[in-house]
Amino acid sequence: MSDDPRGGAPRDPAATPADPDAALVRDFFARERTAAPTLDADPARWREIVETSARSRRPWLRYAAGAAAAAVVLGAVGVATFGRGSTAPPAPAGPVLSSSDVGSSPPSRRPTSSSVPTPTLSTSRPMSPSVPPSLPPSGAPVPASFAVRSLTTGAPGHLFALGTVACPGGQCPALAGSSDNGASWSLRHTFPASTAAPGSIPGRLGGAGTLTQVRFASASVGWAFGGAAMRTTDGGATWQDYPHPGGEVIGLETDGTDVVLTAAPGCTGGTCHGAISVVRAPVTAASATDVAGTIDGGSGVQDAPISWQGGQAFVSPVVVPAAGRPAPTPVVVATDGLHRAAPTSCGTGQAVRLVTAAAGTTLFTVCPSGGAAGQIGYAVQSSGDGGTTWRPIPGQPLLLVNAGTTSFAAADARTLLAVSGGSPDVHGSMSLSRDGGATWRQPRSAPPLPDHGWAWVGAPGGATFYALSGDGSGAYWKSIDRGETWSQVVVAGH
Amino acid sequence: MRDPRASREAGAHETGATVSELFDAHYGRLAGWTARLVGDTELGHDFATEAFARLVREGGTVHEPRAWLYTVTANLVRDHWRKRSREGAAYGRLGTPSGSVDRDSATVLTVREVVLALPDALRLPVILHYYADLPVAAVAERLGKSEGAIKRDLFDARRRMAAQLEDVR
Repeated sequence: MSDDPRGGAPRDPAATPADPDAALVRDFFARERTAAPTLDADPARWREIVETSARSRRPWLRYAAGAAAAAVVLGAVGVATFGRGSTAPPAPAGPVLSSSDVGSSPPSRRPTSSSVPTPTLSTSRPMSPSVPPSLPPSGAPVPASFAVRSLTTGAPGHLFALGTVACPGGQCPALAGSSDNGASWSLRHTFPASTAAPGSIPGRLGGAGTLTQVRFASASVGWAFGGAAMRTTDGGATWQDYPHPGGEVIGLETDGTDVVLTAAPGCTGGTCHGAISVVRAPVTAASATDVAGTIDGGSGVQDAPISWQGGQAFVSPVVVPAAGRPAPTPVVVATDGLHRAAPTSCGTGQAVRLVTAAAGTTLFTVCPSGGAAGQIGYAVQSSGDGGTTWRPIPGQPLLLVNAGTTSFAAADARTLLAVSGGSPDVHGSMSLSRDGGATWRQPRSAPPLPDHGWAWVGAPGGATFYALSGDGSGAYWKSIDRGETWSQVVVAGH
Repeated sequence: MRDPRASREAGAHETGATVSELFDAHYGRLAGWTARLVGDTELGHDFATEAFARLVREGGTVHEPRAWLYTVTANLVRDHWRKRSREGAAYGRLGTPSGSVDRDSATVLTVREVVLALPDALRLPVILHYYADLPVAAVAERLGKSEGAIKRDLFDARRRMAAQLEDVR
């Protein structure tokens, strides 16, 4: 056997010397081996291999929580050996990489109350967790009127969807749950109509006292928020107010151990007015009290999404800067406060959006960088050292239809998905990159474009992406091949 | 340049190669080999990546890792073809065109077309012996068959492929 598969094969031991077909077949395959290209074996491929093997050992990674698992497997890769005739038993895993192996030393994680001013604790608007009369009880099939607004994972196979259902008061927020990875769904809870956000679409701020989003840290512990904030410890059957400082909750994410929320006061019409408070708490706590720091709210706060990676939380403030002031940059939540985690600005005075890869240690930023003919261009940068240094990604820029709302997700160091939507006139767009943001295209088999485009995309780990339309339909879309092909998962009517 | 983390960990072992070294030696060729087989560069990367990820999980127990990698990848390709075939049949029932021919197959044949023209049972022996250049004994070991059975499969496949190749000479 030639060690080089591209080399020729001068003999054919499978054929007799007199076999007239042997030479023809052998020569054909030798030419084909030579014609086969040698593709790039770059570091990103290696990282993907390590991350893929880690995912298979832990088949479900919570949103952006894969770095630790990848580090463990990197150690294992270093000691596993293979050789001709080797009969070595499986090698033990090597040491877990230290933080200096992974990149620059990350800041310590949990903020302490002594490191920041202790604000006055306020609570959300008091709400009854009870189900209004004449609504379906918990465990009932999901009503056909259910419209998905928010989707989250909690544990392997567990999905939760927050939506709205028709109820005596008009529309009520409701939680549906699945314990079989979306194959079947049941109604877990219906909230009062007073917590509904009239007229808003998925991904938008709901306004004071409303519940529009859901996140779960496990199969039992989760939060509903969107102005108000509530917490459950029994898989969504019952809910309690979740006291927190800073005003109305505009963002909340968990890595399964801690939860970070962003809050701002005076939210009306999708904009809040005042400083953004960044608050961190253990998922086991019944309230959030420790403010890690505050971010200048400028002339208006439109959003402050959070993303996790390797035990670190990043906040991307979307703020209209005050006159003469630059837009605030994404920050990492550290023990001693908030630290800048991304380039100073986009060069256009607009907000930088930080995106964490669900597996690995890569961070991305996307910056609006102009555009024309109804599209906005976005420049992409990446960091492999926790945001200490950033590298512009050369190549074809990302172009999204300018339809109001954008959402970005990264499955790994190479795979990014971007969507836009929100407008019934121009719909929106979905764009995929499989080379770390250098080039963008439509997925091989993209889902049909909803009337209002796309409201949200998420990368829970592995090769999976989820997408929610802006139409408020009773279904979501799922890809299990890094965004190339999509299938619809129906929640309503189950 | 390789990932410095991986390079540091992947020191050479006296009795064999680490996965990192195998990646350096074989990944690019395996991915290109696969890409030509499936006619899709990204799929080539995907299948080669999956094969190496499985090698990582094997934890050092694999004999003849190159043969093992090509066998795993060939199985992934075969499964891909089967899935595509089922989808094609479904689309055919719905009256949807299954695809288009993008060049003149009467004058040029690729490995993909030649192998896809074979019965499913003959594809793996042909891919591994003729295209991956693995010895008959290695193919037999990997596929759990006797050498005689593999030789019979190759004989049958050779007759079929020769007729196809003769047509375009």
